[in-house]
Amino acid sequence: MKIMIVCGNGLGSSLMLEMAVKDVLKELKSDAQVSHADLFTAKSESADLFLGAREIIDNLDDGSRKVASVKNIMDKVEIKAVLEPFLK
Amino acid sequence: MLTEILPAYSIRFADGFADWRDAVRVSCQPLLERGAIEAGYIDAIIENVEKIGPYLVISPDVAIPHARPEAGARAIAMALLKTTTPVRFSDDPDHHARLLFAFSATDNHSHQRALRQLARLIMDEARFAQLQAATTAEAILELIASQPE
Repeated sequence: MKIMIVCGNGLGSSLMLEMAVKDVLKELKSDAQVSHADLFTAKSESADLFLGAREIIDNLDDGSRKVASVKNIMDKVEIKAVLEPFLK
Repeated sequence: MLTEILPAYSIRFADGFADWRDAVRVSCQPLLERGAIEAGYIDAIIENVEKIGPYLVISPDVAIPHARPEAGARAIAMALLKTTTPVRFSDDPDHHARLLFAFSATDNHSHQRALRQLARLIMDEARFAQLQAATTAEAILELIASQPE
């Protein structure tokens, strides 16, 4: 499984969210692959799941890809709850 | 390391701002003074928020004003503006923040260690509470300096 972390510029919040996601995946013993990109690049990338902050994902959610969003990108409890259904 | 790009004089305090745009400008002022960014970099941050939304508020009370390297970043640098009343990036309380970590990066990689350290500090509840309560640059620097990656 490939998870694409998306943010506005591709170098700030996506990096921080990627860290939190990797922590959560480790906890869940998942071998999902994680990478990050800015909103513009992400639109032309393929992944099994696109994850980002709510405002970002709203810009990406056109029905052509699987998306999930979190309110607080530093909250591992929220990230875990959001990710778990997709990992099964 | 975070301490290398966030010197004491880049940590500043303010009461509050009626307009989030002014808060972003003031948060970037130390970067401008250090020559780490061009003035256009600040405009790029504001334009991004107006276009995409207040995504720069990454978690409760924390915003990270920044733009793409090509928007006018000359060096890796960070500044912290801590306000007494929250800066409102929208009417939604999820978009209110009192800690504004403005930063500039010259490529996609070189700032990563510092940002990772910042993320660890935010995810550590006890240390983050200390950061929220800190009232001096010295206290903040002490917290940052002792933050493991």
